[in-house]
Amino acid sequence: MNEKGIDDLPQTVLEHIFFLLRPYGSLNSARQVNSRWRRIIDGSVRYMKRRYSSCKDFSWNEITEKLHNHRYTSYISERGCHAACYSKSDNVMYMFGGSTSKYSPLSDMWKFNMESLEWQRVDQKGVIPSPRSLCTLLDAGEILILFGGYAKSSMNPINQHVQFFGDLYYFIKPEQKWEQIRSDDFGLPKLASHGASMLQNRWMIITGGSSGEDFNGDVYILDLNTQILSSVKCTGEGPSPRHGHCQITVDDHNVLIIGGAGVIKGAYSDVFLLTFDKNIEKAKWKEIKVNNTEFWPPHFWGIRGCRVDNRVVFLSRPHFVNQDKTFQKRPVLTAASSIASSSSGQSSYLLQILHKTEEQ
Amino acid sequence: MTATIELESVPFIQKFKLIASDNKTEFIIDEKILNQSAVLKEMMEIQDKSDTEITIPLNQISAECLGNVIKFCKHYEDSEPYLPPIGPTACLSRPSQSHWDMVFLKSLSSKQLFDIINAANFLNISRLIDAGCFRLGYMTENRTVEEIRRIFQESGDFSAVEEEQIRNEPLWN
Repeated sequence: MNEKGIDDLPQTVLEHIFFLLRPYGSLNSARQVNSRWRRIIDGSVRYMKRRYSSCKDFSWNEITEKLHNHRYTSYISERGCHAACYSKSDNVMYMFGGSTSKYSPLSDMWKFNMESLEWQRVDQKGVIPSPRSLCTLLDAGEILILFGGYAKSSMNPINQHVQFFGDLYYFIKPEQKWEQIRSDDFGLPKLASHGASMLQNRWMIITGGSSGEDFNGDVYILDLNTQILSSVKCTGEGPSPRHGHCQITVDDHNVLIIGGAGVIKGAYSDVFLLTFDKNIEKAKWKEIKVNNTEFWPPHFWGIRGCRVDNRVVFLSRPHFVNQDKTFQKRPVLTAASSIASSSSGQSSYLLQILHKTEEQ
Repeated sequence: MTATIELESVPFIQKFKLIASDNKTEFIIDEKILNQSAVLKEMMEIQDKSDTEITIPLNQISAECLGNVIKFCKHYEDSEPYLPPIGPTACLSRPSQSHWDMVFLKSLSSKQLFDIINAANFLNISRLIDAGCFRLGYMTENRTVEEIRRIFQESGDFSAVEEEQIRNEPLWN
């Protein structure tokens, strides 16, 4: 054998190599090398997608926490209510802020490399947003957008002062630098625990949220090209004011609102579809009927769903605990599909809610 | 009488003689190493084992490469049989850079690496195939397309327009 190059390997071996590559980054770069590689990788991806769509069992894989740079000696502190998003352009997940179990707000920023599976602390430059939790972080091309949030000022309950934020920041990814676009008193609503998502990579849609005394029932839209924020005129029966819901962008014109909590009914377990018109000026609400409500997770607020292909995946507490009052260490996921059909004539969206079931 | 007792007490060790492509270099191995290759194991199951030494000519594999393969298998001669990672999360079972496999494969030149993967594929040694593929994964990690092309001496056959189009195509949507 006088082989020297990778191209002399049999196709089955090449397929195996691509199968063992990390699906983010490596695989995408390898696909751009030449047409033979691209053909083989596209085949592997099709195979993996088929496997996913017929998937009934889910298993957990623990990714051990690794620090990319040993200059930072501390690991990520425990936290909740942080903002995180996957950033497509540099293939990392960014995480900002959050609060500790004592409600002290945090303002550190981390990124998780999806390829090497390593955490790295971000050296934040520019105008760093003040410590906060329950803000939203969105990926929009070369920038991340941070909006809203809230912070408790002091651990002492007498002096405690709760602050809600309505300021807007851009995080410029190539420079790893924050820029404040709107300060706190510029007329943006001060919201925390709201829902936010990007539409067509140009508009940021904000729904719901809590402003302290009240919950927001309006829909706001921020045009990133003009940086004008406006309230959207919505027709149809919309969701009642709420916070802690899950907002998912379905396609170029549709946004899905799932669950949340409000004053009237407590926790909601309903699904609404917000459809924008062609010019993204007006919008229409439509409630979507869920057929098997018995499969809803017990608490449907404060947990973020994640869109995977044509499903929204939630991670939730179990309905029941075991008889000996123990939880299992790892959630066992069982898939239970529920079809939420929309009669608007376009298409029906499959909403798959995953939850942990009781282990008898 | 005493001679028979001695014969029983000394275990019978089957030896195999592998001959590389140059028809000169020979490697004497035992069953523990041989059985890691699914191909050789199967071959030997139907072979008459009355000889103490069985000669297997491997004229597709060079002496240098065969030496590396045996060195790798020698390291795992007393390990549990290898279970290849399966399913979509197979990529997560990649050993760390400091793992013996990765250090061993890193010490090889890229020609030697491709040769050893090819030989592992030919002999069907799944542990070595996977290790080689994971090593190639490390070689592509955090690399741009240009760098991957340079490392593997590949040439692109896309036009500028196609390249732009492929870059913007979402892989997982």
